[in-house]
Amino acid sequence: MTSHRDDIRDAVKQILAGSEPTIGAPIAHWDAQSWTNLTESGFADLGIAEESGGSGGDVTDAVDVAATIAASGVCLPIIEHGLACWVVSTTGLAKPTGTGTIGEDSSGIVAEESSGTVLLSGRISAVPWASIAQWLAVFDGHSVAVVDLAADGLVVHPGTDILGAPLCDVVMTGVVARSHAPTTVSASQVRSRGAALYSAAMAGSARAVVDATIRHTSDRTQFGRPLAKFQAVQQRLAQLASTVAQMERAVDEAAEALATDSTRAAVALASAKVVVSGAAADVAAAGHHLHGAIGFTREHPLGRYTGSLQSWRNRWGSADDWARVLASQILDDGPDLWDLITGGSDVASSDATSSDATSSDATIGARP
Amino acid sequence: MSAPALDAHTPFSIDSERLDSVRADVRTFLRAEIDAGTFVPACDSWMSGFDPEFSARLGSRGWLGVTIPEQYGGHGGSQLERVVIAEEVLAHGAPVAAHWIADRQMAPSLLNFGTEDQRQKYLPGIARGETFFAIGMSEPEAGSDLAAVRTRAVVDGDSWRLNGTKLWTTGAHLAHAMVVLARTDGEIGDRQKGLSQFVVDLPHPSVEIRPIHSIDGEAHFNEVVFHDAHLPQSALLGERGQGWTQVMSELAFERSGPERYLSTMPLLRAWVEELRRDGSSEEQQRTVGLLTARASTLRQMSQQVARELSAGGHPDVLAAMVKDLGSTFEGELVEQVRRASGVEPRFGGGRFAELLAQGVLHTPAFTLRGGTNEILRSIIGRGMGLR
Repeated sequence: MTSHRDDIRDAVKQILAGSEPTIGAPIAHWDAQSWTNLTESGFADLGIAEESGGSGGDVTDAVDVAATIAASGVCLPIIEHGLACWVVSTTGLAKPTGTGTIGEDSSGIVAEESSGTVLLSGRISAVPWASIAQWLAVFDGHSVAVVDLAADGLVVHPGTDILGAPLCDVVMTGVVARSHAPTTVSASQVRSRGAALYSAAMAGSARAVVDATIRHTSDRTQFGRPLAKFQAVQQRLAQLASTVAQMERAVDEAAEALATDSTRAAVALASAKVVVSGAAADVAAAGHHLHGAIGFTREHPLGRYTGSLQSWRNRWGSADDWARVLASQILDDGPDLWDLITGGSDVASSDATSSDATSSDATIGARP
Repeated sequence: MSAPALDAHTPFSIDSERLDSVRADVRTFLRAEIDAGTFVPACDSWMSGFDPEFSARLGSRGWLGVTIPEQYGGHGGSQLERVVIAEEVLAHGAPVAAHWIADRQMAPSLLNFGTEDQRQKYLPGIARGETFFAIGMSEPEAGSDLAAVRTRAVVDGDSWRLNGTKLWTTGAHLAHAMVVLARTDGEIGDRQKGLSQFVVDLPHPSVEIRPIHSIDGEAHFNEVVFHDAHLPQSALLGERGQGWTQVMSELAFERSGPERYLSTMPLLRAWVEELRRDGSSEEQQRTVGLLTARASTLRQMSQQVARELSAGGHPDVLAAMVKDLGSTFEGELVEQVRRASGVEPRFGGGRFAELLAQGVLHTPAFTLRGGTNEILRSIIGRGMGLR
């Protein structure tokens, strides 16, 4: 299993090495060539069954791809495209061609059925990559509509996150859906998968911050010796490394639990997003501090990683959101807190990946 | 070195059903004990909950000396089984201080370095929960700088004479024996070289044990003075001059165990019970969730160390990370629960307020004992190639 995961990571690294990556922040232009290479080799839709047009594998594979891409500093629509393809695959509809994306909250969209077609109206805020994607998956908790982003009546209001990656508002006025079908997948399942993928990506960025910081503090000489020889620097670097090791452990646990549909999945996933999102700002701050002013420049690669951490913290639920999800599993007549942590034999089944009845639906609310 | 203590041949996941059933048995036992009023869950109970009868009850159920081979009265079980039992007694705040050091550290140490006589003499009692140990490492001039120990053992005919003072020796006034790190060769300037370990049976006519009263109002710690104490030749543990290496080999066990993140878990559980009964605010829910997530992830890291140790690895850096993160977490848990609950820590104001008071009073020790967090970070730094 481990070697399979290493293989995937190595393969992704190799594909990304095939084109010159952009560095620095904010992003001047996105890495279209890397994206083409990745999609053509089938790594953009891992974790989606082959019969649904994906490349097979499970969510662990998708997690590893997201983490590897993030750690390389290349900025790609891998998570949204993967989520959009996966949501569509659960309806039985054919996978649309081109790059897809999905918003976290489509509750502002009203669907009208008229003589066999579905017309969509309303606004979806903060849709990543909507300005470069070809299609959008609109998921209302029960069904999925595929919309052409160039369709009549659809306007993409462009914007970016603080890293410079597209983050757009999509406004629709009577837009004809290209296809439309019910799905068995639940809102909490989509959120869980989104949270798992972003947790993995942030852990990847955080690892890159550690690596860059070790390099910098070893190379940079001040007061006659490398920064890494100063105890104060070592202490902060060690704490940074411990924090990132904790992030990685949490993500691994969540990915494995999700892939095996274990009863631990709900706890592991929520814990991962809490731990990773909760530490993201500290990791970014420590990385910048230890790089000194040098890391603050546009050309320096550090900004890619810290910008990612700051941009992604709240994607598919903040640390606080997921903390409340965890708490509700305990406080609302759930199992004892310690039972929940150990996943022991007397744990009441609380599987967010297969049940829509978990309280996560109630607590991770729509974003403004 | 013998394999049994390190359990090199038992894969971690081979017997998760067995581990689940051990966990369920221990849990049932602990709940019954709490219901019967034999103990009240407490914070930091592995340091301050001294109850020989409780230890003997655990021993009689086969939950001590788990990794000790059967020929020495143990159960020949896996390191992971031991971890499961440790997790449960800690999370329930059970009084396990009497046997904790003997079971955690002395059993593997005796198996790895002890003579056959020493094993026969101490291990069966450890497994029964009847033989308790103290550890004499720190000294007045050697705290975090352990290699600076001045306690000296010199050969006197066919025996040893021990002089010096150990400090912060938990439970020495109640223990049946104490393991002592002392200089047998060279000078203080030789640092790690020339140190050896001894097992000193207690009480001993030339060993003076004075209580140290701590800010929690109790006296778990002692100052132990060796007044030219006469020890038989057989008191030497392991090899003369190898004391430092022997001590360091135990540290991954000591540093990454569940007691490094669970000391205040009884407080969190008690608070959650209160919230389930009385309702909770959004801020309180958030706090419960944040603490649960961290505890859950720290447990995963701690188990990863146990798995690597079981496979014969040396996860020293990861173990240091677990202790740095875990012992910091134990204290932050107290602070966050105090803030979010709004309850005044005090004694005589109910069980929860009392647990909170225990947590506040014990917090300063969490990041000091077993190597300060600064020392741990320097170990992590060395592992990262920074020095």
